[in-house]
Amino acid sequence: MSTRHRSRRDVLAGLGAVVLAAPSVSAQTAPRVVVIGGGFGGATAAREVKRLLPNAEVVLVTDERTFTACPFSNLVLAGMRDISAQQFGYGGVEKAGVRIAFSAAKAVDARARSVTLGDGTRLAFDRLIASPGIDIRWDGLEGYNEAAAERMPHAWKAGDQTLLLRRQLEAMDDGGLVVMSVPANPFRCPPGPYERASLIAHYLKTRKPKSKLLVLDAKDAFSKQRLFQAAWKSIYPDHLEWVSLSTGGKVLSVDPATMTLITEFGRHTAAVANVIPPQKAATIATTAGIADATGWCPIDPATFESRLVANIHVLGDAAIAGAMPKSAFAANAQAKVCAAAVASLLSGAPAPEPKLVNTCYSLVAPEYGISVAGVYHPVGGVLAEVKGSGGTSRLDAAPDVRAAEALFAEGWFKTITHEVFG
Amino acid sequence: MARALINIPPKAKRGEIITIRTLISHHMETGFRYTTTGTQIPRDIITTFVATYNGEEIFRADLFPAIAANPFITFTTVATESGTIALSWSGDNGFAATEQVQITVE
Amino acid sequence: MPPLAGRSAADIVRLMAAFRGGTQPATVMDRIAKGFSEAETEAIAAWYAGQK
Repeated sequence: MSTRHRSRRDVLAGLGAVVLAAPSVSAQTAPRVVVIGGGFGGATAAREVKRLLPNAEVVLVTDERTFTACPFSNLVLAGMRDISAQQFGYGGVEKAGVRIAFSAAKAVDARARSVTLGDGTRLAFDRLIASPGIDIRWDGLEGYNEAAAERMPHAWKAGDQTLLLRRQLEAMDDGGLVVMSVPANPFRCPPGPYERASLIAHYLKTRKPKSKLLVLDAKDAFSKQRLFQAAWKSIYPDHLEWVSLSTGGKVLSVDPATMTLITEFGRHTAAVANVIPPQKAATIATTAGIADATGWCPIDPATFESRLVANIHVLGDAAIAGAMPKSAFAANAQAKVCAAAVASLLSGAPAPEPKLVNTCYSLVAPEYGISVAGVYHPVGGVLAEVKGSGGTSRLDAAPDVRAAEALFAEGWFKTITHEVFG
Repeated sequence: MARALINIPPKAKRGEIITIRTLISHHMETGFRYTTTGTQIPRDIITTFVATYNGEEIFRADLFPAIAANPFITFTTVATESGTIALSWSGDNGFAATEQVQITVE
Repeated sequence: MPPLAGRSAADIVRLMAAFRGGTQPATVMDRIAKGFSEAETEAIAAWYAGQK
């Protein structure tokens, strides 16, 4: 019985469930929690803290009134989905009792425990949760700056950039060469470039069959590689070529004026160029002092509290989460664990031992889905995969399994966006 | 014959510092690994890389088991005269590969 | 994927064990179920069964 009792208290966020005794807040005043970032991580964390600590004052800071989700945005690029299906407001989050401050977080004073907003307003907090996402490392690829991104879109933050790349693909003549550049690890959504490559190849094959996609990669290995490569070989033999690091794929610089990508061993001139540049935790992380020299944020794997600044928790793409990938699913799971830890700590209780789940679906073609899943727990100060769990879809799966995974991918998107924004 | 990628500018000004990049496909088996049945996998690596410029050695490197597969080597030299830059790799099991690139110096 | 809603805790525990053991056909649940112990699965099942 005692083991069972312990596990009920300690198991967290299994399949989205938070199994936690409701914390009793001992402080007389309502605890104040500020959350920076209105994406999957931030919105989930804000709602979860409010649910666990109904008397807490929870403020979500986000600079966009409409959130545009990255998962499934590759379908928008390929003309298979409207961008409106990616967009969500914050009505549901507000209804859950979270106050929204539509402003950019400009500074964090860890000592005074306050966040300064764009208009100068200061929000005091007892605990801060930062889920600020990524920013492009504008000094990370020679020739690639904000102006270059208008000619060679990254489309790695969903929204205008996604639509720009879609328009460019639509405007391209049949027979054009599309070139994609993929950075070294770590970056947001590890299988994302390869899902995108698949769906662009699908678009070319069905709409502009004389065209081709060339993927220039700074890596030799990537997420779900065997599954993607098997699918490419059978579905897109004439429309997709992947050039790995050791076959000269690393892009050293770009020249937007001539639409040229320069690799270690050659030059490629593109009709449409999608440059996925190196990334880092969003700028506010550096400003707040929670990012280290790598540009990402080291955290305690059980509480997601920053290793650099006390009382600030970091999750989602900005965090160094060990074996967990930078995905919406991971951010959502981390947010639940982090919220439970914050609720416990504010109530003077120790944070429970968590277990976290991630699943990343990728579409290779319509009705052809593949996935990678993992279960994670803290081991020796980092999030490690639970031995024996996780892995990718089977290489020899039948077409109906691929179709089922494509369907489950869509089900996943509906479920998570409903949970976070609905 | 191993596949080698080479990037040497075809033209350069006299006295200009040029960058030479090479990558050769080779599995660089360390000799420290065992098969599932416990047999040691013998070492098979590239041990030496030499670059010559019109016959004169300009760069040499010794390679060891800690070097990753598909070794990438980059170095600079001064473009002195038109001619041939030759790159050669040699290693275990009689491995040998040579590539030559012409350069015009103006 | 069998839905969770309306299932008893015992039923969820049984399904998770079947996913873990590979006797229940799966796309992703077999890989996830293997990450949880018996006791953890029971805790998860109890939580889901308590949801309306």
